[in-house]
Amino acid sequence: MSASATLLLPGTLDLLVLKAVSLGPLHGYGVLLRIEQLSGGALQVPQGSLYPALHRLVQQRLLASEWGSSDNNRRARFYRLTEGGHRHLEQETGRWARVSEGIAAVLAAEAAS
Amino acid sequence: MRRWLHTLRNRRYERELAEEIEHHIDERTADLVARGLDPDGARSQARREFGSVDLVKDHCRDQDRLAWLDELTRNLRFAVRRLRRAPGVFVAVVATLALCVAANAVVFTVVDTVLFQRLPYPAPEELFEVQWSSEQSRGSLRDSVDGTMWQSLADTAPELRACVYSDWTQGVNLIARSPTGAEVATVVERQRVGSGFFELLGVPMASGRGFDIDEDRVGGAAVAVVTWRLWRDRLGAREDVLGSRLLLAGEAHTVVGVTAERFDPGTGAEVFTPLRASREGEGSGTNYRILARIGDHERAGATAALDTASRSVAAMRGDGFSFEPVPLLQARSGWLRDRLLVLWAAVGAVLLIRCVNIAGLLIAAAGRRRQEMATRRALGGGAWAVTRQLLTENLLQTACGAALGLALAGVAMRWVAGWARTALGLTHDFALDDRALLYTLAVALLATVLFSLAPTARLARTDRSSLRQRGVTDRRSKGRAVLVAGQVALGVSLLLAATLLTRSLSGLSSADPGVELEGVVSGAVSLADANFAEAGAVREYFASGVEALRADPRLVGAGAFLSLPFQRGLNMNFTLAGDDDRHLTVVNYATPGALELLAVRHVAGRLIEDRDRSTSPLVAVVNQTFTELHLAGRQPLGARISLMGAEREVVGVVGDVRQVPSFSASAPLARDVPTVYLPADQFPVEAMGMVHTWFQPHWVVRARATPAAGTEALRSAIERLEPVTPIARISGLEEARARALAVERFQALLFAVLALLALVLAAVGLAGITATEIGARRREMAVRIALGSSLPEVVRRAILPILGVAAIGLAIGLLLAQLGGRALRGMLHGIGTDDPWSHLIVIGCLVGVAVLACAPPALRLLRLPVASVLQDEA
Repeated sequence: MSASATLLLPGTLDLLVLKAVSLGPLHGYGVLLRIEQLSGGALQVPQGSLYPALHRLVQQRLLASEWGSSDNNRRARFYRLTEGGHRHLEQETGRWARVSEGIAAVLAAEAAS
Repeated sequence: MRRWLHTLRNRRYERELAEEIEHHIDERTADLVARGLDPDGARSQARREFGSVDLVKDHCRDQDRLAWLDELTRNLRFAVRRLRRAPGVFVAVVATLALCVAANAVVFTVVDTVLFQRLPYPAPEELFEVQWSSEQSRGSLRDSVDGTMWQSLADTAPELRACVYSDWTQGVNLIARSPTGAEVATVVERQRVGSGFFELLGVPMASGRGFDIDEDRVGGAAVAVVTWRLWRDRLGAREDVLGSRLLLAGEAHTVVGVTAERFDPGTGAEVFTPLRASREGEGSGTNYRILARIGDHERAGATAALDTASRSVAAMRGDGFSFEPVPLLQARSGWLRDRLLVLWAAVGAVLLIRCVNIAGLLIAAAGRRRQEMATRRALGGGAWAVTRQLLTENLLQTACGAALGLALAGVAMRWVAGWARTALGLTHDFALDDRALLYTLAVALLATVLFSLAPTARLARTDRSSLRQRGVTDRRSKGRAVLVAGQVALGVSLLLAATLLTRSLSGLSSADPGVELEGVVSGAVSLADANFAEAGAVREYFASGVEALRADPRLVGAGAFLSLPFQRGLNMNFTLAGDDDRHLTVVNYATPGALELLAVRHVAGRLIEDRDRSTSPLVAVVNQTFTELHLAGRQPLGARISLMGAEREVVGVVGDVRQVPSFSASAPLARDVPTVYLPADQFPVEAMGMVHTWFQPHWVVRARATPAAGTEALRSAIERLEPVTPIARISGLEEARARALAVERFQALLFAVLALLALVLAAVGLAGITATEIGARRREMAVRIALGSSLPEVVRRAILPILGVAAIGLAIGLLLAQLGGRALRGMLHGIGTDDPWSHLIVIGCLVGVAVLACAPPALRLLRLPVASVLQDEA
């Protein structure tokens, strides 16, 4: 992991995991890799938090898990998005967009002269 | 709790969690190796990056913990904590629920077994009893038939699968070889059944067969069928029992069959002999029953056959006679049906009271816990979370109460079953089966959950604003008052029913029996025996027996009767001299001095004396009811009556003796039964054999000291006298009376228990509402006291509304009882449902209970710390 990678904002891990999985079923390590890859290495997922997050999302029925075999033919638990997960991801993406636009607008304000 | 959850989680979960993390570290290691690290370094770096595996696993487990289970355990822990804080309420709730559950389980088992469950025979729905009605019976069915009716049915409807039998059992003497080789004489219950009886009931024999047609004819071979139990216990379980000889009733019988172990004839019989139905003798009266098996496809044919038979009997009798098939289950349990249904209703009423009670307690709890709930809601507890918490508490109580109740029911069931067997003669196999368990569980759930849903849901809706309104009474207490009045009403009607039944019973059992019971001991012997076929043998037996007993210094006197007080007597038709009208009377016989021994009141003329021998002029002694009914306006002494083919003179009149009326039954024991006493020596020889197959005569002695001495004297004297004629059922007359009233006692006691339970529950309800009411009005009371109201005035104001609730409940209850009283009417004797004393007792009880229930909270009011209440709530 590059030293310049940024730690995630609190509460955003679930959203990122859902997005990563929405592109296709992944095992835990695959989720980690995909987030790093999509963020161009800018975001670093704390490995210790990843698995509790995955299990939590399964418990909330946003993700479903099943056992399959990974690229090197090992047994691995794969996660995929459920119907509810899709809806949730859409909602949260919209919300995130509004919040970040808002924050960006606030931060872009200049002092009135 | 944590460890418990861990063990609950299965091993597979742990294995998969470990595997998942291991896979992650392996993948990471492989990536790092691909980037050029050496394998060992790569692995340790992967582990470092991952952090503590145990910690991650723990966090995963936290996420995966079964959410509802977790909440349930949390709720349960909370409930247990709360219950520990108020153990009194918990114990009260669990105890009352347990009693309700136990009562319901036991009564349901009895009702279900007797009324609804299938008879213990194959295809029991095909079994019918053929009953009959005529114009004279005005549509009501008679269950017994005479020989003519049976013969007509058998002749005109041979295609009908039917048989005739007697449902009476009598003790007869059985002489069997004991395992030690000695011959032992015992009395066994014998039932006489026609050919085809066992085949129709359909339970295959353990071995051998039932009776064939030739054996069931007069003069047929002497054969017997024994029950499995008799074979095992008395016949030494011999393999070669079929074809062996059995000395039964003094006659050698060949054993042709052994019934199956589980075979239950429903009469308690231990041995069966052929009935040999005829039109004469026994068959001239309605002493038989008809059993028929009618399959579904045979219905039409059977109806047609019965119609044909009905017409042929009707033509003979000319009275619109008609046969009617009645399902056997109904025919057997019909006499208990009303009583059991009333009992079931009563136990249901108790359950309803208990439900109302729970609802009331919960409303009260809602009042007290509004603060807590509002706080929880304010802290973010969802409405359903709060409801679930309350339901968990109820479920905990239900579970405890139901478990305790079932345990209690198990104990009570054994007791009730024993009683039903000995007192009511029910041979059913009473046991708490899965039907009863299911019913009980449903009942317990209904009692708590359903009735607690409304109050809890309402409580859960408590909003945050009630945090501010402390101690304000609301309209809810009005709803609760209605509930309490309702439960008082149900309790009152149950109490009234119990009081009426108890007073009816005590009237029956304390009424003058017409004889002196003290010290009297009796025992039955069976004279339906080849040894007593000659009338002379019977006379000889009585004479020598009386002589032997009179010689015993422990006894005041001795005698013999055909039937005793508190028993059912023999019915006979008689005519008065110069009149052809036939009347019915009870006929009894007595040895000289026997009437004096029982201290039957001597009214006129003389009693039976030593001079009344078979050769001397025929005489009779009649009772007062007989003279009033049949000799009114005449001089009874010297009147002549014709009985069993011989004319005799009335020489004496005695007082009435209480007995089980065998015709025009109105009460279980009655004194107004016309009765004729004949000297035992003068009882008609022709009738002797027949009468002794129905009735076992009784020896009677009066002990000088204790009844135990009488028992011993009686047994030793009679068995020495005639070793092959054992004496059975030795008991005091008091016990005989208790036996005759067994059904009434059974019912009165069960009702009393239920009424007591209902009263306790109503008291709990009243006490609860008083406590809440006074609790809610503490401030008002304090203000009143501070402003100078006297304490008694304040107490009066506090409890008057409660007594008002009780009074309304009482009024409704008495009204309810009037409506429901119709069901009880047939079960009350000597009093009506409007019995004023019973009403007074109920009112008194209720006033007492109401005062007792609201006294403690009202007395607490006297110690009200006025200043602090005012300060606290200002």
